[in-house]
Amino acid sequence: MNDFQPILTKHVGQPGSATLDYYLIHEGYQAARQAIHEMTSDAVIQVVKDSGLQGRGGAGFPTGVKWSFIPRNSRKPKYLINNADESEPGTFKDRLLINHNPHQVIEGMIIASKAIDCHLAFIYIRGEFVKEARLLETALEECRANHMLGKGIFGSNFDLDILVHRGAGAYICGEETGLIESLEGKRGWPRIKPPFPAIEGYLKSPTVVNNVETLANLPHIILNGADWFRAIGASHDSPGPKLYCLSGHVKKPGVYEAPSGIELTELIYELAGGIKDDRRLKAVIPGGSSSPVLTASEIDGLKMDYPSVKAAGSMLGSAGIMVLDETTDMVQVCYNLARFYAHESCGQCTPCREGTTWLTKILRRFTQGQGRREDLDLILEVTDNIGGLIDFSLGSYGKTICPFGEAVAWPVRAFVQKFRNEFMDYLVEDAVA
Amino acid sequence: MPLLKIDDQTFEVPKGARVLDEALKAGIEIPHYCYHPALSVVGSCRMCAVEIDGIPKLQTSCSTLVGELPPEKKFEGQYDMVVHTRSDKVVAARKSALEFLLLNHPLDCPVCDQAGECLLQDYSFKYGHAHSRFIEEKRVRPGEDLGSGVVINQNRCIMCTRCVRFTREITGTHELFVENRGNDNRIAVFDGHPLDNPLAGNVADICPVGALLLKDYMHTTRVWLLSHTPSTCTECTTGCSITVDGAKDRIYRIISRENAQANGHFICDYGRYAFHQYEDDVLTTPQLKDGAEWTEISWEEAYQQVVDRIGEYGGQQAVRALASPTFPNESNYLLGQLMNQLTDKKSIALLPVKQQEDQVFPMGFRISGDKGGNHRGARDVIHNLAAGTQSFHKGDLGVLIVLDGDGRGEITESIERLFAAAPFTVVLASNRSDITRLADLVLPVAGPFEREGTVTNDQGLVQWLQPAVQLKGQARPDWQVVAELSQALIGEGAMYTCAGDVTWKINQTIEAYSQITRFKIGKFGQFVESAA
Amino acid sequence: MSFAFTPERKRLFKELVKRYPDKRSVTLPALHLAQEQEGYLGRETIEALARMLGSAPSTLMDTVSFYTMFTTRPRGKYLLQVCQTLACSLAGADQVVDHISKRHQIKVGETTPDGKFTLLKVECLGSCGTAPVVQINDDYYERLTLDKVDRILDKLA
Repeated sequence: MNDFQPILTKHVGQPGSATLDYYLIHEGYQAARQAIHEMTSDAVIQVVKDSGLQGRGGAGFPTGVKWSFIPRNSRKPKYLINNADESEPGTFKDRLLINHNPHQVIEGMIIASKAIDCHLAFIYIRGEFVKEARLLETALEECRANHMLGKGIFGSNFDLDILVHRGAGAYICGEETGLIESLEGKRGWPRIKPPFPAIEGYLKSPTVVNNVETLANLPHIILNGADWFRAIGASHDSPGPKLYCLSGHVKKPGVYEAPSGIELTELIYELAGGIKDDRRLKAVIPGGSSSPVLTASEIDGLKMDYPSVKAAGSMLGSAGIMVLDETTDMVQVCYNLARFYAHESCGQCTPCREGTTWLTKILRRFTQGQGRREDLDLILEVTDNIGGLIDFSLGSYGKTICPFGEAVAWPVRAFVQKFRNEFMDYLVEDAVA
Repeated sequence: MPLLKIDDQTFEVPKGARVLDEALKAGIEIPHYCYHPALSVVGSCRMCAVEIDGIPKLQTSCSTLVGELPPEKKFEGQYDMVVHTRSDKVVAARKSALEFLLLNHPLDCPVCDQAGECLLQDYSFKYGHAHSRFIEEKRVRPGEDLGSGVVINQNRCIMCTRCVRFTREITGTHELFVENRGNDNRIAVFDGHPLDNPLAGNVADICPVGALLLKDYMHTTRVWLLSHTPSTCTECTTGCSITVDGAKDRIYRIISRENAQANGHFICDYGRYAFHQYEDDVLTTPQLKDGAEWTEISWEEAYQQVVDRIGEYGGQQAVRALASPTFPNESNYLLGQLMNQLTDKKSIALLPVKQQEDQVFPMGFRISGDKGGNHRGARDVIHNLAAGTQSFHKGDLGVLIVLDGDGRGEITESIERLFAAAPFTVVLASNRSDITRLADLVLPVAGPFEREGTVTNDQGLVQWLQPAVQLKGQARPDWQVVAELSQALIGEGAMYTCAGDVTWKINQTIEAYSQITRFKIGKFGQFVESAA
Repeated sequence: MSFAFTPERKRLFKELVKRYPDKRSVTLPALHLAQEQEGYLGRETIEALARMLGSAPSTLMDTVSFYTMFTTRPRGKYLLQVCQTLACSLAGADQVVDHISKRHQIKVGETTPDGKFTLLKVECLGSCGTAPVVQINDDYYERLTLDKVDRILDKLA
């Protein structure tokens, strides 16, 4: 870790880092030029596959493999969508990348477009990020003015334009197919899969959806090669630089770039300065609000890469690390998140539409001291019925069309299982006594 | 062909076959709400989840298609897919989906019109919990009038979205939509744009619960008190298959009866509510016009009147007739036979009926502009049918015998002239109409929902009309009255003892109908020979 | 109250229709344009936009009502959206809401009588590292303290 130099966030905080001029003097668009002029689509896909880059949006699916699902000989247009919907509580890394270095993201999009033969790409950015959307518009205009977007980019015969598309307030639009529906002008109700977006996505055409951070990695992989990327981090299977978002009870909340697989304790105690007011750690939500909470004793030696966090019974997800100190009321936290999910449930599938609100009502009752002993098992059963047990071996897509079911069920389950005693404090009989 | 195993049954199915469809076809119940065979698949209610070998999590059978596996990957060496619909996991998932659906659903079955034909009630009984574990407050929302005679009880809605997809995919009119998000989702119409299309009533039929209701039917009866008569709509030449729900002498509602050969899954609102047109001014006795007054007479007197008037006005050769595009083949056929025996000319023509533009909807549903529902059948079964009535005015014009147009008969200039010229007009009708007003003698016959026999739609599909309610007063079946007239005039007709006898006679004498039998018609009809 | 885009927005709308591969995809951008102009999406606005997008008002409303940023009713000049999700909640979002509520004598969901401020509690704004956060119209105000809230609101008053 000590010799690690930030890659994605290298220019954060530098004056003018968001401008094209700044970016160009710092090797900007060299990788895109190289991909457009000197590489075939296959070569781009291969180097990204070889690099082991995994999608940074949450699922950690290998990016190169995802691209390779795009049918090469399809006559339909292919679309790339940059998922900048960043709405998983605890996650705020994409906003930073966009604010400080939008061109790095755009360059990544050019490379991905080359890989899948896309000529119109979108940046789907959450609606609340008004400033960021404007900043991206400005950056794209700079590119268009310099023939880096538009007809025949970089003097090649490759055409590409990128449109910024603002969402309008819906967590579920971060889910690929919900996002695609939203881009098509509809409510963001996720689609049944198959067909997968790679076959039938936006406007029924082959579509790849990649996260902002995933795309930001691409210029560096093209310039430095797959082996260079593989060598970063603790795990050969889950390599690369990674942005970790630290929030909650830490002294210095913020986004920290570190090699994949850095220990969680190092992130909390060294980079983020330790627990606020030097209190003791109670628990950590390691990968955004939908990842099951880990207790203080579960995080010892935990490496923050996809396989390691999974092995610990949670998920690296979006690497939104929420730190909870000893004073935290876990019943309130659980209620807060359940309420979030009830608000964000799209309402399409029965278990999620009904179950999230039911959970919220039960948990609200708890926070009012009106919990019943039998509610604890009821909560566990209801979460099982919405998302199933916390069992990664079964893959996603079970009780509901999209993984939102798991996203609400798993964290709530984990809170009740791991902090049952705190829930007991809110039982109605105890309140009376 | 892939080999599909569902529970203990095995089927060869086409590649891409839908698991749910195949199960239902085989009579294996997989409960479902959002799936409807005529609508796009959304897979959201989660009721139809099944267990499939090789897939760890449950799958919705509505969205699962059967593919073909390479030989080495086949299950048990032969199956391309093995589905379990009754395993513990499946039963538990159903139970859970039902529990969720009932959280906010009121338990007002005693006053709900859907009770007795409610999928939520039925599935809850079979698969649900006996007690609710939900102690929180239920969501309460006011009901609304959506337009076109449809109201919604928001509390009962389970968000299957069939109705929304119906107005988007079947009618293309887009009135209904899902408003809000998550638990606040509700079915709505946009302010000032109510449900307004001639297929609107179908949304109540396809609603699996008692959320969408027809004002016309609401709170009128309980469904278990009704008899359900499969029949055919004759309001236009589409000839939709219908079920007529009635009790005693009253029809309570008409709903669509699925028939891939005719209407598919739906019916139009004209047909749905048509029965109300025949509730008033019902003719119950033969009536003779005496100046401006109508006198009730007996059937014997009525037939004697016809015989006497024919004698009085130019004899049998002067008799002319109008068959009806709205009456079944049987009465039209008998009238044709009678006229061909009475005269040696083309002495029978068709009563014109109102014509409108066809209305065709995006997924192909068509409301025919030809309101003579049996137009094709009448043409098929009548020998020597005159193209019009001009020739009737040549030579003597005596007694005119008319089958009514059930309110759709059009009094064109030539019809007006014909009625004016005929010295004595006999009209066979069920209700007083513009045509009966021009008659001298009215013979009360079965109305559209009391008739029995065959009708042929404009595609040549012959379907059965089944009487759904009893005849009123002294009214007699239409075929019987023509047969009795024939008996009185030419001594033929007494051999017919039921409508089916006439159907058989048509089968024996009309080439194109040589394959048409009551048995072959069955529930879904039989196409006439396409010689033409 | 009929709706029409201002000439500048009309030009932007036409430009978008040209850029997108299909018209319906312009729905969200068009709704944003209209709401920025009108402050809310009224019935006539939705009817007019539906015509422009070749859609039905009901279909457009289906979309509008799904997203929290769209509103069909007018709101105050300044929309104060206080994030209430976990990180902000841990950092004292409730106190921020209570403070604004007291300061302007409005409950959550209400607008001040002078039409200046509307107070809302919203779910995660994606700025957990700088909690607590309020979004006022287009801008985020981060690492709030009650003093800071006062200073911000004083400037707007």
